[in-house]
Amino acid sequence: MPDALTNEWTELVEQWNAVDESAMHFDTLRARIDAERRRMIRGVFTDVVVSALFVGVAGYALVRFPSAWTRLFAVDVAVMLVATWAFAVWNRRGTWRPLGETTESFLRLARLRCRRKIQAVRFGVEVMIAQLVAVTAWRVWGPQQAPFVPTETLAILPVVVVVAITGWLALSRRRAARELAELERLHAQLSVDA
Amino acid sequence: MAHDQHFERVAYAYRGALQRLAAAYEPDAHEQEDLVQDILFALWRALPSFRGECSERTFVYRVAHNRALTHRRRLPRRGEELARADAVADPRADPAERAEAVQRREYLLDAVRRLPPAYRQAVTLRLEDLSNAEIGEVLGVNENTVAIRLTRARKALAELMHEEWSNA
Repeated sequence: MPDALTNEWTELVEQWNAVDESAMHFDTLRARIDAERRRMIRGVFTDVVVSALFVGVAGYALVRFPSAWTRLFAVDVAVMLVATWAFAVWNRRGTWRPLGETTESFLRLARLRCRRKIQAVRFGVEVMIAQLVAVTAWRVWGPQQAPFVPTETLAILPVVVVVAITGWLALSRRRAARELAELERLHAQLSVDA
Repeated sequence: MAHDQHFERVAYAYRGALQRLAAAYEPDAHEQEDLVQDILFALWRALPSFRGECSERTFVYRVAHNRALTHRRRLPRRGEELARADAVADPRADPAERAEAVQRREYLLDAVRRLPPAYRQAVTLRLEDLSNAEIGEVLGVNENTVAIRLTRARKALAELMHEEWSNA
């Protein structure tokens, strides 16, 4: 680097450092780290508990009300769970790399993660449609009174669940798409002369 | 835990650099503190993957810049009000000199924040006294690209600072 330019930078470096360091309080950070640890445990726990719940309900139905229809229900639950877990693992391929990478590879990975989120939302929609078809077929051709849906009030439950899941999926997709657009813009800005 | 001890050592060692970096991205003091917290959190997550393939300094700056680039403003959650630490006063500095130094630094910071991200990154790292090779390692670009960015950024910085002085 030419001397004149070095001197210019030296002056700027002095200005840059001309401020006292603030004391850092780690309490907020420790609380956040603890919250993150709890969140990670809760995330895994929730996935396992929800899956176990489905297996439990299907198992209970098979034992308590054995029929061709409950066996079909159990098969449906098993297929859904296997497909969901398999997709979850498959969809995370290549996104586990560490955070301490160059900006270029960090952005590439961040964009990949966003695309995978959008892919996961699409998968969620497909699973939901498949389940809606299954439930509708059950209602049309299955036993008129499903043995493990004891009251009419509970019949509204699938509608509530579908609406809630659709809303959540739409929000997730919008958030991921917005994030992806921001990352693309950032990538374009950083590629000015690379 | 060894990981937590390592993290605390790194956090203390680089706290000044992280605060300066945050100031280059966020004008608001609260946002700066929030960004520093975000960076430290990212470091806590990333440090176990540090295998020494690059220097610790390069690693810390990579994580910090990546986080700063994608940092989005978020309102502090309930119960997560960020306590802004008071600056530790430097007893050696003359108050007038100190005020002038702070003012000059503000102009510099304003100018750095107005640079395009590619130039801002290079300049921030240069001001932290990293060599062109180290900057290239952090950003994932070659030394020539770093040199080009720094030359252009220096020119843009001079114009922006001149503008700041004129407007003052």
